[in-house]
Amino acid sequence: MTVGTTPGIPRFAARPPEYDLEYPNVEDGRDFGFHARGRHEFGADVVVVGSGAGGAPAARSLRDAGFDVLLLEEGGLHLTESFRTDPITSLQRLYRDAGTSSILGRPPIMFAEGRCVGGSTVINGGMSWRTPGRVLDHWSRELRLESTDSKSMERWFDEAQSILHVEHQHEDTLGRNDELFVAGANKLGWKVENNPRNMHRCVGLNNCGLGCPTGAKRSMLVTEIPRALGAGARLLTYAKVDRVLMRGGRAVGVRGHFVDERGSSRRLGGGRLGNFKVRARLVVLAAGARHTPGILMRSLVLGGQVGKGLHTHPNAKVVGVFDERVNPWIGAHQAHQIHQFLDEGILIGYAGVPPGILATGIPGFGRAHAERMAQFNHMITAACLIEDTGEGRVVLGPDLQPWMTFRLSPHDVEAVHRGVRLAAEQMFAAGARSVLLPFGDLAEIHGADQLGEIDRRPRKRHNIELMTVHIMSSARMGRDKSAGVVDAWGRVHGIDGLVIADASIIPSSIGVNPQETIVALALRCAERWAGDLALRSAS
Amino acid sequence: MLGKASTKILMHAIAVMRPRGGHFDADIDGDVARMILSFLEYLPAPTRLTFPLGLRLVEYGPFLFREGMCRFTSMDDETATRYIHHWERAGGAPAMLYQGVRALVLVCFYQHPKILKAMEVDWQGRADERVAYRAAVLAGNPDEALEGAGARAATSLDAAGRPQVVSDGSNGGAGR
Ligand SMILES: Cc1cc2nc3c(=O)[nH]c(=O)nc-3n(C[C@H](O)[C@H](O)[C@H](O)COP(=O)(O)OP(=O)(O)OC[C@H]3O[C@@H](n4cnc5c(N)ncnc54)[C@H](O)[C@@H]3O)c2cc1C
Ligand code: SF4
Repeated sequence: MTVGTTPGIPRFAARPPEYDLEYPNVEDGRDFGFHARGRHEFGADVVVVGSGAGGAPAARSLRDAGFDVLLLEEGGLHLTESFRTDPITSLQRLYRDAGTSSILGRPPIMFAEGRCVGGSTVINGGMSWRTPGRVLDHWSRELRLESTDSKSMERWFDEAQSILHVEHQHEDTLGRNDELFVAGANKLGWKVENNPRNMHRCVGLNNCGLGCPTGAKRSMLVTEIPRALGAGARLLTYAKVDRVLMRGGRAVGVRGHFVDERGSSRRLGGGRLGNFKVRARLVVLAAGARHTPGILMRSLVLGGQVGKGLHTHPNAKVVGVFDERVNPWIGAHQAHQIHQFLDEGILIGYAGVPPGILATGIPGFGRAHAERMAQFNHMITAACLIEDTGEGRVVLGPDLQPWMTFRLSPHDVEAVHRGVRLAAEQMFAAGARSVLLPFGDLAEIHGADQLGEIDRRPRKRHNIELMTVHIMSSARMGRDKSAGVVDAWGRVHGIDGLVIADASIIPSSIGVNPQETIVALALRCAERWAGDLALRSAS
Repeated sequence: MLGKASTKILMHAIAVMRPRGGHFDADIDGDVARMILSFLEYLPAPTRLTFPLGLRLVEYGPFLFREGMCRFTSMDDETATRYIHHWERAGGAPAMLYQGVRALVLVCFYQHPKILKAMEVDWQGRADERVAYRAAVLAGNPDEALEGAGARAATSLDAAGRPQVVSDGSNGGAGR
């Protein structure tokens, strides 16, 4: 099947070039019905599970190295032209569980991830940062992971940045929310970082989280996926991998089942979808930091560090309410960030959130809720991201799906309070008349003179509203099985032919937006795997 | 996917929790219910399967919070509001159920096209404009192409700071 346009979607007079991208070699898993007597079988040199920040570059790179690559993706192929600003449709199409996942713990952390071709890169905010030098030093010196120092990684970051097409915002795309965010920081004497984002002539629509309809964001959907397919890789959509097939201590393929757009193997209109099996010489897991350990556990790769050491970059939201009209839905998504407090593990940014989504983070219901939301056009949603030191776990739930748990360390709890205070201070410095806080027992303050109430709040874990879109380290790199699931090149310790290329291999919390780190690590590892495969063929 | 009885409880929950006052008093509860039902299909199986059970607990739970032996669906507004607040403060599973129902009601309510219009948020209109604008910029001829698309180059604001982007509704909106 070759997909180039979406029927039924009106065309604009001038079309963005991304609307005409070709996606050859794609098969839709929903077309594979249930066979009572067997599975649908496929074969390839390499099977890549998941098409996000890790899977897509790995697939493209291995295809360029000459291997027959089959990419399996649980979600569907949704083209740029089909992206909408309506969160209800977009959450259903592009997000797992329609965006309602959460990480269990005290407090629970709301969590979102992509389930579509391109993975979470299709719905991410586009921030593209290299792993900070101090983090790379930790990996290379303390964790003694080969070739992870800044100098060795530079080549991979360069390559990642050229794939992601990282650039800064054009002046004409900045909204009033950005101006106020910067003004607040300037007033406090904080350094403001011009956010590098993966885009090609972003026009400041601020719909990144629901898919960029303008085609500007360089997600995997418009970069590595069409490149890999154009070079001859194959893609099977709506194909959910259940487990890795093993023979004599080595991985020989995967098996799974086809699902519909809801993630169910039972079609809405009735009837069941089929099962599949793929035989391959190399199995690349890139299903993300939640599902990769889930697949390992379902494959009985248990014990050691599998599922342990999960990091979550918890985010706390701080909403500034201004007298002036801000129109938070106008202007690029997070053109600037504050990195001044990165050494304390705190990053501050902002986001333009659709009313319905923001509403869920505003306490109460009924008339009181309406009174607050009537101020929507006067609000800026700032957030502080915490480089967490606590650790969580991925475990298999009773439904055999991966569930996540996380416990904030006392340091994290302190950092959340510090980050919330800083962000609130910035909002007041920018002229906010009040600030909504993420604490159930301290929901709003009305002036900078009340900031002390945040300091005085008892450091209780519950009653803090947190969310995250960055998870990592649940099958992390380590020199041996006692330290990690994979080696410094993403190869699973003790199992030949099984490698990992997603956020789960990141060895520690990195404190900045992770996609560039994931792409760089995937490229670096894929080159090594291509060498391994070639060697094996030769012998 | 919800039975008649569960739908009735959901409708009552919407009536109690929906934002109200001023331009939020639109008659859209039926639409909100339909949007919630479409959303439910996409929730993870454990949540989807236990949701009707949760609604039954809300219906028959008043006595747990000393609201007497009545049902939720027969409560007047004031009593029902007080009762829902009990769920909010109860912690654990009841609070999670409260948060879940509340989130569904609020997302679907505020994203309803009528409410977005009343709130002067025309995200889709701006999307149409920006798509055409970028295409034109990349083609090297913004003005001409924009004219063809019936859109403006940049989002201008009126004296009150209101953005001047107007969607004709032909290319977006909730439920698509
Ligand atoms: C809303 C949002 C905003 C974000 N903003 C930013 C940002 O601005 N900057 C940044 O750097 N990062 C951001 N991130 C994070 C970043 O996008 C992710 O960290 C990154 O995409 C993770 O890459 P991954 O390969 O590990 O997983 P993903 O990109 O999530 O890809 C995993 C893929 O595997 C598929 N999959 C899962 N299980 C299976 C299975 N069993 N079988 C087959 N396929 C499966 C999934 O459907 C998915 O497509 C954001 C994320 C989100 C959700
Ligand atoms: S701000 Fe708009 S144009 Fe820019 S990447 Fe996001 S959705 Fe695309």
